[in-house]
Amino acid sequence: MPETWNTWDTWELLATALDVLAVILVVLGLMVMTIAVIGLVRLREPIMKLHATSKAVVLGNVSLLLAAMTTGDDALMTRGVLIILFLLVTAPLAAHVLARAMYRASGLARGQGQERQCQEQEPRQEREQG
Amino acid sequence: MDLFLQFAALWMLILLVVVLSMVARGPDTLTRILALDTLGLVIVGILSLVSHRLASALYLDAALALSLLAFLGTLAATRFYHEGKVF
Repeated sequence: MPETWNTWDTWELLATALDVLAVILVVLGLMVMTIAVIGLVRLREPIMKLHATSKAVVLGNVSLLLAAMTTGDDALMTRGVLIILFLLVTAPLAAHVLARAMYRASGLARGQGQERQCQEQEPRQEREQG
Repeated sequence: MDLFLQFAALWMLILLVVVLSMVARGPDTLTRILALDTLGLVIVGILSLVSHRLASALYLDAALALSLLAFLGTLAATRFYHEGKVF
């Protein structure tokens, strides 16, 4: 063991480790939220945008809340656990309702999707032959 | 640590402006509803960063209420879109 470790208190080591963990979790949350917003802006159809945002935003929020819970405050930790559980329950419900509305609005439910798929597949086969 | 959290909050603010522009110029009504849902959850992330920086739980109460209202708002807006009525 190096001599410099003896000068450190155990609680200081723990606090430093919690700070490092908080920084890692905040960076992870920011990256995931940025990916979600990029998917919301760049992808073409509403269902693709829903696919990009509905999962990534919840994961980014969970990461940011876990980072906030490393401060060790009691009230903050209980509210963080509450918000994480609530998000994990309600976000799939909202995504399901939105996806059902998009499915009905896009005409896929009325059998118009198969014609569109055939139209999309024909140029790809031509490209393979040529 | 404070400077890092301020940078993170600034980054989330940039994401908030981008999502707000998506609410404004969404080509579809359902895209606008999806962007509004995302907007509420981005604000929840900003509030969790603020409560992390101040080490107080006051802002997480607002975050809890806001996540509840974003969920109910998405549900109500989507039902109103494809059924014409909320209840």
